[in-house]
Amino acid sequence: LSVSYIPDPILILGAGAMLVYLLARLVVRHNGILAAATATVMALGLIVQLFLRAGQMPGILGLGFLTRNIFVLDAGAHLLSVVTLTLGFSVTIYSGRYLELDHRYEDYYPLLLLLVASILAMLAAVDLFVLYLSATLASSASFVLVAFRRRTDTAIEAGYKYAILGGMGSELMLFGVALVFRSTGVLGMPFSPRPADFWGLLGTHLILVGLLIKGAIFPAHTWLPDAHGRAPSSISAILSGIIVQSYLYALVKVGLGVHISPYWLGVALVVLAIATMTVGNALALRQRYGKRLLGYSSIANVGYMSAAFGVGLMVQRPEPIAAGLFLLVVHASSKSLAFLCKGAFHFYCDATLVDDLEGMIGRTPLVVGGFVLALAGLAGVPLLGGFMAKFGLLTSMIRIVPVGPLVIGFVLVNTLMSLGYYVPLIGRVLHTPQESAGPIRVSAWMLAPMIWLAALVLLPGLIPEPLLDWTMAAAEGMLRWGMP
Amino acid sequence: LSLALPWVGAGAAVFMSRWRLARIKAFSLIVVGASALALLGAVVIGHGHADLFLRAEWIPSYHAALRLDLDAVSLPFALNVLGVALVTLAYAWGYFDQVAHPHLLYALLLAFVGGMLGTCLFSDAILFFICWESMLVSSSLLLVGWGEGDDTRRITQTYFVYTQAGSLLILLCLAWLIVTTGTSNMVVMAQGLAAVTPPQRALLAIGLLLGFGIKLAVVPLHVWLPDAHSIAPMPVTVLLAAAMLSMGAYGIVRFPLMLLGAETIRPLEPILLVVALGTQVYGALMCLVVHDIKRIVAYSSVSQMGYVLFGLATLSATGVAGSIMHVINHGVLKALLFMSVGIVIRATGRRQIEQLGGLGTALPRLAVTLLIAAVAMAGLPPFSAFHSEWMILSGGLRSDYPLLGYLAFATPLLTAGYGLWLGFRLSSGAMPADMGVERVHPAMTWAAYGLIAVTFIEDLIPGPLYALADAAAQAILGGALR
Repeated sequence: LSVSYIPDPILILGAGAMLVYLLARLVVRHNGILAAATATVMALGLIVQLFLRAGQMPGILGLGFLTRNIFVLDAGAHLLSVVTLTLGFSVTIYSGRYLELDHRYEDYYPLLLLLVASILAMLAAVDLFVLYLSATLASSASFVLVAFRRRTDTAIEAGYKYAILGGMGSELMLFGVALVFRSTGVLGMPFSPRPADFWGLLGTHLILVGLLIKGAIFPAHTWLPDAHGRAPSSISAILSGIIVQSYLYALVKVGLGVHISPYWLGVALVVLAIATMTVGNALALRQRYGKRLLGYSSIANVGYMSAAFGVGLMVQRPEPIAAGLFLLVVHASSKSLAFLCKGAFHFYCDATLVDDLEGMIGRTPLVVGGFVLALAGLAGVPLLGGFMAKFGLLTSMIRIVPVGPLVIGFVLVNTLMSLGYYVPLIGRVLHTPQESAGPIRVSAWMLAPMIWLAALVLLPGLIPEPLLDWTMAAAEGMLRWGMP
Repeated sequence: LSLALPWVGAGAAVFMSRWRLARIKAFSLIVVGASALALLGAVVIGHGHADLFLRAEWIPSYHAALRLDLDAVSLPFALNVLGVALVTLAYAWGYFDQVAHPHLLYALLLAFVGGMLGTCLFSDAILFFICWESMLVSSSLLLVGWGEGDDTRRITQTYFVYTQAGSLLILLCLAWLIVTTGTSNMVVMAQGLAAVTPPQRALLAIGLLLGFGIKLAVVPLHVWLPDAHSIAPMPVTVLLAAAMLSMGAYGIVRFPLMLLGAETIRPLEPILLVVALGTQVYGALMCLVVHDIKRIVAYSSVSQMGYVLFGLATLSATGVAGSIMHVINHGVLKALLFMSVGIVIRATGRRQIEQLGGLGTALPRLAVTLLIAAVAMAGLPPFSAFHSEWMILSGGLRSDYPLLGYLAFATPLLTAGYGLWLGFRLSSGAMPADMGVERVHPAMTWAAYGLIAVTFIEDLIPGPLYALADAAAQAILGGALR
């Protein structure tokens, strides 16, 4: 590993969180200014992140040796970090107008920065305890953000539910980390020798279960629709877009890092994934609230991704994992775009139910266009990223007999099932009723992120090659990671 | 193939000009005519230089490239699409006199046509599928945005989900083919087929036939069709029926027949023949019991697609050539029939057959048009479908199952039955007292007259069309992709 002299995005965001908090408390409490300050920090982090390369270890002015055993940026962590920062930047800009529903800027922006910083830390962590700490920190920040609309009962309820389940996940992880430490005396991954005695194995499995809960894998998915349905849309966008998936990534990483048999880890993931996607899609069919529906569709997509990861782990081939990562990236842009558009409908028209969306096309065609694009992307319409992702899943798994075709069968049936809610939803927003209220002007703060996210939905479908290469490199890195 | 590279530029320019026109056209209906001329230009240029190739790298990881090909098989289908599109746009000039969001409507119409054209012309499996889907998406948006009736949303959903299920099946089979042969190029794919064992081929053939069968509206996979065709605005209906249905036939020709080879299909032949026969008879019988005149014509499409499938399933040169010819003839006649029915609906404002009648006195020329369409559909000379139906049926006699071939002769009788019933019921008799007749836009009627001329000419001079179909049939049954 080479130590770079590039500052660490994690530190930038952490320091930025404090600065923004102080700025808000002491100097100015104006949404636009605070959003701009936060966005600057995010952009700085993103730029630094883009300059980093996989394998490099960031550190400040040569102090990288301090963090040498704590963070290693591999290709997968790099990819996910870039996605996280992009979404973080987008929702910050969006909040510049959207947050005027809620006020309390001095809590919101620092928490958002903290959330992103701790996710970056978790992605790069190779020390189990640091991984636990950052995962817990990220969860704590998201509990508060989910319950941010504290004047509504439902937001408090969702926050509680999330806090209890997420907290349980954290406790299980902590207990697991302690047990692993008792067994091996070290905490750095990959372990050698592996924690092989009873307590060590129990510990590793507890950590995995903890991450499973945070990753919303069936049967621990129940908190997600509430949390993502009740949080402010900007928060739902980032939670649904990348945070949940980051826990899934951490799960694979820990599993390989403690040398659980990749085969059995893969089998477990595939079995749970099939249940997850089916439950997610089946329940999404019944939803009347737009954001809950999107939440359930996120569960289904987490299911597709973990199925791909699972198949890849079982046969030790990078192609399915790369396809899963590809889906992860395009799902991040599509789902967050959907949530941001949904938030705009709520902000301007107070539309929360699916039925309320009727006639929106006459009032704000641009936002409706973005929403339809996002849903079409999720549904896998060609020329959008989602199609390439599904196509990648098919081609990567079809030859892996017998598990690949089995998984593909479930994925295709589920895709068809998901059309059962995407298509009516699209039909609903495109439908023009006889009379509708006048047009609305959407703020540039909210429109701008929608526009570039829409570009990010389109781009991987039109020119998939760069992302295919990147995800392939990340997948190969993930498989190498577990090798002793 | 490398000789063709100079044509890349020309091919791209033709397509770009069409798209730019599409945008301009968005703003006024007058440009529609110009755009249609550009379409015609594309045909002429493409026809003059049958090796119009576009080659460009796209996704190296999947070996996908932007490849256009115009071979003997894609030519008749592409001609059909463009011809129908041209007439439809002329007809639409009169039909859409007052319509919401005309620029979106026309953009979608053009995207729909472009999707169908791309489906015929791309020789890369991924791009084929992308165009295949784009025609589904654009037609669904057309239905949901400009559909007529109360239930457009539900019907469009049925249409979308039904056909998408077929598409997913096709996608699965294509993904399998691409992975096993290591390429998405259909030409190279044929050479890599050695890696596919016969049982796998049979499985692929079944999957693909089912998938394309949905689009072709083969009974019992046809349920989306009558609803979708009857709610669509008439020009869209014409495109759906006269052009898009035949894309299902193109898919069957291109993948199961040409790629997997006739020998793979042969064990399935009796099943296909029976299904095709069932489709013909069922469609024709439904025409006799339905009352909505637009639905009658929609069901006749089901029946006619049965012919096409029957011809293909005979796996004989005559039958296959007949099918290809019938695709074009059906395109012309179905467009004509839908247009005349559209004129009736527009002129009288009613669609139930009991409430109509006596148009012979009110609109004599329309009545003649209707009768011609109906007679031609039944395959009577001197109209074009006579040739193709005759070829399909004689192909049936030469197949391994001549009994089914004899049975198939019953369908033209039924077709004549409903065709003449529809024609005479509308044109003769006394006009209902409460029925008013409004003038329709002349563009609509002239488009119909144009089609009558085409079907006449095709019958009197069938040589060129026959040559076209015969070349396609040779290419298909030879199994030889260039």
